[in-house]
Amino acid sequence: MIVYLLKRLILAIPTLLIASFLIFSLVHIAPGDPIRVMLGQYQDPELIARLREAMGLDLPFHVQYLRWLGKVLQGDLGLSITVKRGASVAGLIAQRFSVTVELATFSLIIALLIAIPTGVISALRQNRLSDHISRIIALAGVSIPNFFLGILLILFVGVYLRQPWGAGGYVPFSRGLGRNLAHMFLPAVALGTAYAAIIMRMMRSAMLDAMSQDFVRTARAMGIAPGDIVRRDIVKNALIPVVTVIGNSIGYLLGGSIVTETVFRLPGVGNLVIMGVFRRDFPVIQAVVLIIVVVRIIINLVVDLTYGFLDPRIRYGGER
Amino acid sequence: MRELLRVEGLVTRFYTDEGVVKAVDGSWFALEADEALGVVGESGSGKTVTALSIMRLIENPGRIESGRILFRGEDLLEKPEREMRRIRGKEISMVFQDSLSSLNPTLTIGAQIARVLKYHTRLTRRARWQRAVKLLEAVGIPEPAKRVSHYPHQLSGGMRQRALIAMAISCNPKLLILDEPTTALDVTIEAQIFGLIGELKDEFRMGVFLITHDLSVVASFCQQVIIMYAGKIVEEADVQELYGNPLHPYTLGLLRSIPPLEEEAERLESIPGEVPDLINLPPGCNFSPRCALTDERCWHEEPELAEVSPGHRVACHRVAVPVGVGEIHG
Ligand SMILES: Nc1ncnc2c1ncn2[C@@H]1O[C@H](COP(=O)(O)OP(=O)(O)O)[C@@H](O)[C@H]1O
Ligand SMILES: [Mg+2]
Repeated sequence: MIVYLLKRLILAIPTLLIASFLIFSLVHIAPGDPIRVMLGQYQDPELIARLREAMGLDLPFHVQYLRWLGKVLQGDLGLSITVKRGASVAGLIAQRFSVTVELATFSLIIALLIAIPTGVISALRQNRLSDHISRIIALAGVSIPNFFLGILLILFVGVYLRQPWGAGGYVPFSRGLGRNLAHMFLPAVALGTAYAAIIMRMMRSAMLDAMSQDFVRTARAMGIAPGDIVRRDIVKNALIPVVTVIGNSIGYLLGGSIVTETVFRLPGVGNLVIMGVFRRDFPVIQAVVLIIVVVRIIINLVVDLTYGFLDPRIRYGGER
Repeated sequence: MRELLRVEGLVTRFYTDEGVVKAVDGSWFALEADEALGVVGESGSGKTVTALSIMRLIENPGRIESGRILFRGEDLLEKPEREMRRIRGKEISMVFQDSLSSLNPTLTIGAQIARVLKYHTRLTRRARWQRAVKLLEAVGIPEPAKRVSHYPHQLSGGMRQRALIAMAISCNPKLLILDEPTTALDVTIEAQIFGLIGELKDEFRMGVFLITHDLSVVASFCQQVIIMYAGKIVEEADVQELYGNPLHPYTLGLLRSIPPLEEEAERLESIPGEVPDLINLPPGCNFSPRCALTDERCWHEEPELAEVSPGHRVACHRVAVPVGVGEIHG
């Protein structure tokens, strides 16, 4: 297991190098210039040239990349140019990281709490009313964009019901866990709904697949109780493919959190990257995207480990 | 000998979108305690459905339409599902064809056997596990104490089939149903497995219902044989009689298609034609489209299963008439 982990970590290095190069290139190829944004209405060509030189933006592309990479490897993500001039990007991210992690975790929990039981029930009651209803809701859940659902939720809970926790905004932990969670609830629902719908559909089809397996028939032929068969034969086997889907689509949560944070005015990493893009703050964009890539690699690793935990065929491969 | 199982007029159908599949269409047969009954027929002739009907394991869209399944004198079709759960695994057990897909990949062999014991015995957790080890030993798995905590994929095909048999006999069932238990295995292992089943049958005094499409296996293992074709029993006799005096043209075809040498692969494909579509069966005898001996009557009138000599029943117009018997053998 440890050897496997090490192997995976070593394999992550080239992935990260390629990703860092792509991120850097994209940001620099995209139109727009941080200096122009910074100067606003005072677009003096001489000043622009001086600032570009000072920030190293006049250097050849590959030199800029290598400089950046070298610093990143030393843990230095650089300084913000326009979002918060002179502030360390690492610091900016650190401040906001917990907000995004909280949002993503909360959404994931909501999604799993909705999706796994409905997926199970839907499959067990295949083609009956409860199955049809949950499938229609799931279809709606996948189809509604999360920013739109977010706006609807704010309009209903915040504006119509006049609930203070329903109008967006962020309350830090330090001002009370209850209030913090209350303010996080709607964003988590908005972000988690579509995810729940994806997982629910996957769970349902994995359940139906497991239910038609021969070993379920064997268990029935041995007189095992139906509840036991559902738990240990059907659900246990159905979870294996579902965990992969959960892991692979966690990128969706990260992407969706960018929009959701904007709709609900949450000071998270997603919100930071949006500001970075609008203001052409190269160091900020690069750092955030790079961190998202790192997080995804870590999540994939965790998913693989869970997978091995659930599926003995992976845990004890090939030995006979 | 005591009668263990009697199936009377069993009809099982599947109501699919394409139409009604007449998978088992009026089966009558009986099985004595500690007798082995072989059920032979090409794939799709209703063998598995017959077995699943006996265990009341037919699922939607399938339905047992009529008939009686008397197990030790009591009709299983009358039993509530709860009662059936007590019977399955304890009184009647079944070993399925593909040992890899028939075992839960996420549970150890021991856990799967111990689970059966949990439902049918009062053994403690530890005693169940110890019994699982004993059972693996009884079916000839080497190092049973180690193998018991292995997962199915860690065992070879032959070992897995043994483990599946261990699970099936774990509660000393009176009737053991084997559905093509060796199709996935090579000839040597097949012989070993049948050797094992034979020993267990004598030791536990079980009746065995052996489904196979291999007549040579039946010859060495069973006392009584049923030949099924397209959902119907076309011939039944004891082994000596069936091999010495086969009557139904389909049985003759099956016997001819056994290769003289021990060869693998589809031995039965040498009968020309295919098993008919069980949704649109031909009028008259189901076998008539493939039969060389048909006359006018075969195309219009379904033959009944009739006794031609004590214990030997056959469903064929060309046999039931004494002249016909002569023609077939002439
Ligand atoms: N679940 C099912 N749904 C529809 N048709 C089925 C089902 N199970 C079996 N059948 C049909 O019943 C017929 C007999 O099948 P089976 O008993 O499995 O044949 P075999 O003799 O090979 O064991 C086949 O035509 C098969 O297509
Ligand atoms: Mg079959």
